Amino acid sequence: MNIPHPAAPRESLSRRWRIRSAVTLISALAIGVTTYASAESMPAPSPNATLTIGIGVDLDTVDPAQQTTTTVQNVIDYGLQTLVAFDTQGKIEPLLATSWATSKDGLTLTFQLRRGVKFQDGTPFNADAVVFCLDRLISGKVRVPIGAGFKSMKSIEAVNPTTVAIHLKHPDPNLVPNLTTTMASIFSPTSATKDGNTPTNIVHPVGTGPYQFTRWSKGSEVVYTRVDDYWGPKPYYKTVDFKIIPEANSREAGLLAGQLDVVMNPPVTDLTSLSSNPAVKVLKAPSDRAVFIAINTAKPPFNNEKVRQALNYAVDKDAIIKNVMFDSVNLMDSPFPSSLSGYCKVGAYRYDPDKARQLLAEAGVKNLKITLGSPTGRYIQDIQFAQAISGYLRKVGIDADVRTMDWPSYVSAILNKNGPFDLHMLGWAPGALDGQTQLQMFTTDTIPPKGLNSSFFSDPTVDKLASEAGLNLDEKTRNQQLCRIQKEVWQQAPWIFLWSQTLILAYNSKITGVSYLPNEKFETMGAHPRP
Amino acid sequence: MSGFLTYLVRRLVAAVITLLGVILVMVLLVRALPGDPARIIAGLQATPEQVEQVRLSMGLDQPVPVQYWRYLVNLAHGSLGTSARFGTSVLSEIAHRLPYTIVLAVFGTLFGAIFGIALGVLAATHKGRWADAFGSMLGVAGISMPVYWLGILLIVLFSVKLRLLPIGGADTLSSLVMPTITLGVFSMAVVSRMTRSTMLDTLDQDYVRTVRAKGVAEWVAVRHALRNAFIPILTVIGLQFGTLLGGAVLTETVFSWPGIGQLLVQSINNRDFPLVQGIVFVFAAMFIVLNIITDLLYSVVDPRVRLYR
Amino acid sequence: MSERREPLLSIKDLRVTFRTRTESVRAVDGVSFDVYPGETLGVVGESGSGKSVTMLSVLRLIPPSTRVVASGQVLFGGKDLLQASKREIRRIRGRHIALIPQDPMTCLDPVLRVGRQVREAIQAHENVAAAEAHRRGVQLLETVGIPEPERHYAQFPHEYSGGMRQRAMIAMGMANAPSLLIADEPTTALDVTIQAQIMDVLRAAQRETRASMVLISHDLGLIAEMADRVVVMYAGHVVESADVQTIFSSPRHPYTLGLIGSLPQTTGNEKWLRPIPGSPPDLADVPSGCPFHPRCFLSRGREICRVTRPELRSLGTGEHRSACHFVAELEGASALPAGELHEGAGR
Repeated sequence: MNIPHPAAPRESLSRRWRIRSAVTLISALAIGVTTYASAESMPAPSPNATLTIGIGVDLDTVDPAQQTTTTVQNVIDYGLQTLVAFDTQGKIEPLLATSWATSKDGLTLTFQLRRGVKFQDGTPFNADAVVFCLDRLISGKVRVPIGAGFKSMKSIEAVNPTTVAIHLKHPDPNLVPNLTTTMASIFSPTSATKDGNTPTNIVHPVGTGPYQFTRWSKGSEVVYTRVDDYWGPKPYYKTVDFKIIPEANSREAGLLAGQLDVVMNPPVTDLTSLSSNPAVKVLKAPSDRAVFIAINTAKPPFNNEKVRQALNYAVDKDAIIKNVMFDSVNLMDSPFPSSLSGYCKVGAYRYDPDKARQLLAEAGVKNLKITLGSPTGRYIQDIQFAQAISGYLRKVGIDADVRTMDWPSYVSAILNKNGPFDLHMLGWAPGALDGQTQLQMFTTDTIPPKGLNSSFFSDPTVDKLASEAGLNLDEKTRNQQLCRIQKEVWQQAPWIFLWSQTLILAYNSKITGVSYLPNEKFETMGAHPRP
Repeated sequence: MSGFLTYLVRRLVAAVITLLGVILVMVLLVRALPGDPARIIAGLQATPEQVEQVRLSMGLDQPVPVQYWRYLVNLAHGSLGTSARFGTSVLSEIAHRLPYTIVLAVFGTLFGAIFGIALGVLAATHKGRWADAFGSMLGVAGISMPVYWLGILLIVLFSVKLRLLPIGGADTLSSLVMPTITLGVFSMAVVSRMTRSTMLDTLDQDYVRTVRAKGVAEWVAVRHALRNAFIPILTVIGLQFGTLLGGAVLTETVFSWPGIGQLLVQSINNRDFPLVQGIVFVFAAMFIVLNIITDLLYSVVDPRVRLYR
Repeated sequence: MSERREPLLSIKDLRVTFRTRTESVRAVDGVSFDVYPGETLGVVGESGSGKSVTMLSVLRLIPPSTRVVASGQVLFGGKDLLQASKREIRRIRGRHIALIPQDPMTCLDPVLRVGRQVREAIQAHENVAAAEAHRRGVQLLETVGIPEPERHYAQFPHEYSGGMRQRAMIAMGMANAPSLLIADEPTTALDVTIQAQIMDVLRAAQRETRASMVLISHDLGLIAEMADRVVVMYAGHVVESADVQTIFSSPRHPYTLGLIGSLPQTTGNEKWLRPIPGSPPDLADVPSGCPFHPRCFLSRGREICRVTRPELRSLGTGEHRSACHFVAELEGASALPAGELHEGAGR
């Protein structure tokens, strides 16, 4: 898990600090200080206290490699750890690895492993375990739905019990961030044949984390119990009980009734009342999930850049954020959310309906009737703000009919170039906070069915820069390349750029130390009752 | 006794034929849904090769009659297949969740039956007076209150304000209270209306007058009428149970009740064919059994009903 | 026959009106008569004359779902039954006054065994143990002539024939040896061949318990056979009352004459059927004055018949009463012209 370890040596990646915007830096420092501070003032581990967390989805699988849903990953992260991990600001910290280095040709990544760490079943954490787990991600024998980030790995080798070498097919600056994701968790190979586990399907994960997976009542709850001989600082709570409560209103009720300590994503419409309730604390954790309206750039008149820009000017995003989203999201000022590596602030499409009409006239667009696709209940207030956007478009003379359907049908529809939607809403989170994954939204070789570039956007400059950046190990020049891509994409506007979501946590104000990670995860290792 | 056995065998054979038909319809319907199931299961970020892999493993590359046949063969071996999404056996997924839904359906039906009959009898024996109007009002309210709204309302009242009951889950007996009420209220309304109208009918019958002429207390006469009214009421209760079995999704969602309704909706959204088919099959089988039991109950309640020779 | 005895049951000016939203139906409109201990009183009239309603009202058995307004007095055992409390009425029903209802097909609870229902009649008034009640019930069934009473005790009503059901109803009526039996059309729903048997059973029952019986029927032959006295009803009124001989030999009301005259008669080889012209009035809209006047051969359109309702008046000998303005003109009439009356005619 992701407790900062002051004793471990910082790595050369400290240069990342400079890339962050001032605002993010200051808030990050503030949060970092408080987390650090509360970690320092944490009381001794309790023998029996339980922390009850209300989550909105049930686990589908507890096999790290097969993960698809952030919340599920969040839960199993309590018991599993990775070689490297993010801290609250998105900076990569050592965890099970103490240091790492890339070879000059970029084709070998070597990790030094932490000594004296044991798995929860008593077996030692060592290079063989790392090899076993990372190999699963590329062997083809295990289903890895989100395995794209590991494609560059060719083979993994145990050099000695505390050293692992990963051999790459090509240089990949994004492999290390991807190794922070839950899919790359290291679990006990010995456990892979016990307790119902098979090497291709884990049902009872045994990791190195401060808690261990104790019980999963399907549809009901998942229980984790603190590990007595955990190698790091022990959390206060003896048990963490994740209650599965799909209905947001019920979660909020549970918090207000004192039956839940922490809940994720209470109803956005109640944010105001929750924020002013002294018994409750609300935490809006910035995340990496961008929500946007993808424009089908293959369909006229949307192949005309002016039309796409016009759409961006036509929508009053600030007003929607305030009135429909209840200030629960952060406006995007780049195709990248601010938490991604390589993010650079590009600009703003201020609300300007006159400019929108002018651009539309220049493009020769009159009486446009289009369809705007939106899911229902998948993103915060999705169908609601789709209606709002349709209203704004109508004001500039575009008749946008909002259509919704169930998720699988929706996915089919948006991946089809001749599908029913001219515009559609989508959300996208790289998870590994890497800009490279974000680029999948804009490159030609990820156009469906090969990928998820659902705006069918294709620009040779962007393609060239993207493939170069993908192999560029020099952080500085890579970030420059990414910045150029962001500027280009922003200019060509394949999306109506909207916002990045926040993960909203509401918790009992008697508790302190509730924190988060910037990739839509909550974090309670430092949580304890307020003194 | 042999008459009874023959009857049972006849019903079971009919049941099997019905189930075969149900499976066929289901197999066709599920595949008619828009969206590529293999892509949904494989995940949005899967490569085309991965999607194809999933398609093969789910047997979706085969023509539909072959899929239907394969399903039946599996069934004959006692297997409902493997969930495409979870990787676990469909039977085990269902076995985990179904008991919860059955418990909720039973309690909801009991609640609806007991209060429904009571209200209906009250209304019928006080026809035209305030008790009748009161019963009617409750009936209308029961049918009109949306399950979701009522559920949240109960939670706010009993969990948040009064701190009496848990907001959800299925840990303790008290977790059963609010979901039962939420589900049972609709059922109660339906049963009470049926009871009232049937009772009004039977209370007017000659044999009830004969009973009164014997000089017994009024409640004895009412009991006679109720016993005779029971067949249509029993039918309604049976139907309600069936409805509750299948329709508890909203209640289960609001109260985080780990039943099968939620699982069904999720599996449809995930295009998890084996799971969907398994659940529908189990439901169909339950309905058929329920029907047979109701028919048997008829013959117990009304001696004139002769199911078999 | 004309001893001054205390009547067992005395109905005085009973009026029963059914109120619906649109109309008032005067089913019983000022009926008075007495029943003496040990006698059989026949109540005769067409359907809709109010005879059943009168007797049902005695026991307050009119279905509670109807809007019923009743006035008058029904005196029994020194109490006015119309004013009695629910509890008092329940004590009387089945115990002192028993009803043998009209249609044996629908009068038994189809889902309970017959024996159970007989037992219910017994246990309604006496704290009798189940076993003892069972024994008595079987005995009752035997008394009314049901063969293999033990076996039939355990059967359901749908396993009984019509005649057997009627016997069972009589058994239930007799269960507590009431002092008054009300038999409402006891043979109407039965086969002709069974009718005689049932009447025997009834007669035996009455003899055994020395009960009075009110025999309601539109079957004049039955009345002639069984009744000691007769009351004739029309459109909710009593139009004539007398002992049975007198009613048949010298009826003194145009309606009674018409009834008796409408009996199929055989004179030689002729069979006559002389129905009364017209049909009974709609009880929501009873004619003014004498209710029979539109069909009356005696009235001949005279005004008083149309305007004033005739009172039930004694005809000299005291027990014979008639409600007709022109009863004097009927002196000497025995039946409609061209008809003959035989003792026990009509069979």
